[in-house]
Amino acid sequence: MTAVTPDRVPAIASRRKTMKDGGVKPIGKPVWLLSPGVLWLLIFGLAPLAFMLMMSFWTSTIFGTKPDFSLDNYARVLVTELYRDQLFKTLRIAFMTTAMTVVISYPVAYLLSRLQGMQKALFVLMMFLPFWTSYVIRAFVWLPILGRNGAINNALQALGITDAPIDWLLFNEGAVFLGLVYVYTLFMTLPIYLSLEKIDPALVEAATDLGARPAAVFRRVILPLSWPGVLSGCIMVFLLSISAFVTPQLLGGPSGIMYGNVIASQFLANNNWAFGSALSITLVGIVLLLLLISSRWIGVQHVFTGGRNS
Amino acid sequence: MKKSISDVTNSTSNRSSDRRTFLKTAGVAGLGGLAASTLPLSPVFAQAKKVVAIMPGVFIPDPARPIVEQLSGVTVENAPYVSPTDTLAKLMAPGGTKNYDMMVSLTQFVKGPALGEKDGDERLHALDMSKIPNAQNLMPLFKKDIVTRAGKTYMVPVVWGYDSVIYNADKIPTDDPLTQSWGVLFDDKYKGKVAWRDDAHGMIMAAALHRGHPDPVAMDASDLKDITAYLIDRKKNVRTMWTKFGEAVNLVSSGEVWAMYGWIAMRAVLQKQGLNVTNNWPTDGLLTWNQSGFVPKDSPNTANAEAVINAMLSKEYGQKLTEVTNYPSTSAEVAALFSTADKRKLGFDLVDRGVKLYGLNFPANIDKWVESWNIIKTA
Repeated sequence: MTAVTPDRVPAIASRRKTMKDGGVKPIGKPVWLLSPGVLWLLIFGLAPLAFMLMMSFWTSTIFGTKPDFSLDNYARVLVTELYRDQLFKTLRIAFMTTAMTVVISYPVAYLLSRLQGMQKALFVLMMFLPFWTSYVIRAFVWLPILGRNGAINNALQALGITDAPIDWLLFNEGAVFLGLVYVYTLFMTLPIYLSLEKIDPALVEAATDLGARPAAVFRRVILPLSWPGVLSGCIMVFLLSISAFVTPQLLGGPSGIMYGNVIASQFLANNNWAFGSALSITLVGIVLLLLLISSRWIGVQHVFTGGRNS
Repeated sequence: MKKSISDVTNSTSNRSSDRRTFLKTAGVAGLGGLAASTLPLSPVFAQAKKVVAIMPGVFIPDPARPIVEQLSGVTVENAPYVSPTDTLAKLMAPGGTKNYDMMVSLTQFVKGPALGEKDGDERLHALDMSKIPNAQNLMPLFKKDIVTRAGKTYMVPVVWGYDSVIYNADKIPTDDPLTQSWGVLFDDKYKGKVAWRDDAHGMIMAAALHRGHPDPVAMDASDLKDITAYLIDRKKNVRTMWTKFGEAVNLVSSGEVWAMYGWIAMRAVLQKQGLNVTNNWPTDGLLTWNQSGFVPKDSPNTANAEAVINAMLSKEYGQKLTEVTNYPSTSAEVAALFSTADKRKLGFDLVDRGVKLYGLNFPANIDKWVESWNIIKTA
């Protein structure tokens, strides 16, 4: 049995055919309709990035930032062990957070796609409820849960399981993972859920009728068709994790530092906007490079084409 | 009659109630007239006059705001405050010298960039000191911190304070010799029970003082390397590092840590929560700072801003600020209002007691300090 990939979905093919056969045809080429989107991208997407790129070549002193042209900031990023180490550490944490979030989110999204009516509404509500509060609060809430005198330690001692508070629940890398996975789970669950929802049940029935076992149906039908959702979630969670700085600061303890904290310190403590920009642009470059490289194997283009391999 | 700090602090809630009643009544009788008749603070109270100010909210707490506004005859509209860095960024941004009428921020941090490299580069308005007569009452300790250039005055210290070790005296006995220095944050004795501040400037400064460096701000690369190595070695004793006020207070109040690098207002808040918390006067050097009032160069309301700065140097405002927040005023008149015991508690008598003071000045190589701090955190 051949795996069903997004470009083989018959419904899409038939829809294209219908358009060819005389559906509603566009009149002319109303390119101007793109202008709001293009404008939005220019103002909120490209302009800040371009400004940051420009500033990364400037120099900062205590008297402010001067519009010189210098490659010193980039040289410093490349030759200083601290920045390289932080970059690798942050990439590692972001990859692991993404992987853990997939493992947790996929079953949740699958369950959600199978629920109906009120049950589904309740489940969605429960999922969204914590996200009505701010990011900082969602990270901060782990302190009274995992702390020395927090809920878990109190419960363990009350039950006689431990005699003294456990220290390692908080202020280490494990707590950072916990915080990041908790905060970003929704960004993984939703796209996967939407992909799963779009799968035509007839495809699953057809696979079953043709003798595929449940595991094979999942592996060869459901997973390939939900892959764009998984990728979309992975990209979102990865990008969010790689730039995280509140969670490691709050939950990471004395070593709670990621690349985002290093960047933040240039703006908040050092007033060195030029070097902070160079650090940021380096991160943007590395993320772009990773996306380009990974697109050769994992079909990142599906994310940007909505599952249509155009 | 000199009141004790605890008397005053305990009466804050009653005074809040009085203030509500006062405001209700004022709504009927007319705020200006009532203010003039009940509080002999200002001959005129003009609602129309106002300044847009950037300053830490703690320096204009609710009980002190009416005093400033009545004394100056100016309404203070607070723009959102984030940090000294943010305040400086707002001043340095294009148009930043005309968007705000006055600012209050860390003198040592702001003065360099705000004045610029040379005469004429100033982004600040030269203050008309005849409109700030209360500046004459500054404590001698802070007169030297008035920022001037070429005979013009640009910044005047209005509030000061100090960073020290805040600790829970129920857990760490006050007679423990370690509490007499910054050592309590570094020694193995309280391993896992201490928190550092996630701040390159303050922590490296404290560690350098503790290591006996006579002038940390002038440390060269080699000294900085030594302090970095020392802090990396001592990091094993640290439970966590705090970045925000509430986070720090919560660390002590929840029992997560017993001692931390802390601010005066944290001591006040924790004491109000009923905790037996105090601060030390490190023999290796208490880190002091002050916050100055200044006026951006193109402010359209310079006279109003000068009136507010003058009011912030008044004894009425200074007393209230000190009572409510424990942050001392820079005015010698205010210091004279407190009892000997309160002067000691608040730190007004630091010079008389011979406490070694070290100003939290900014090192020229702060960039390297921040990098070192990141290395410490990464280790």
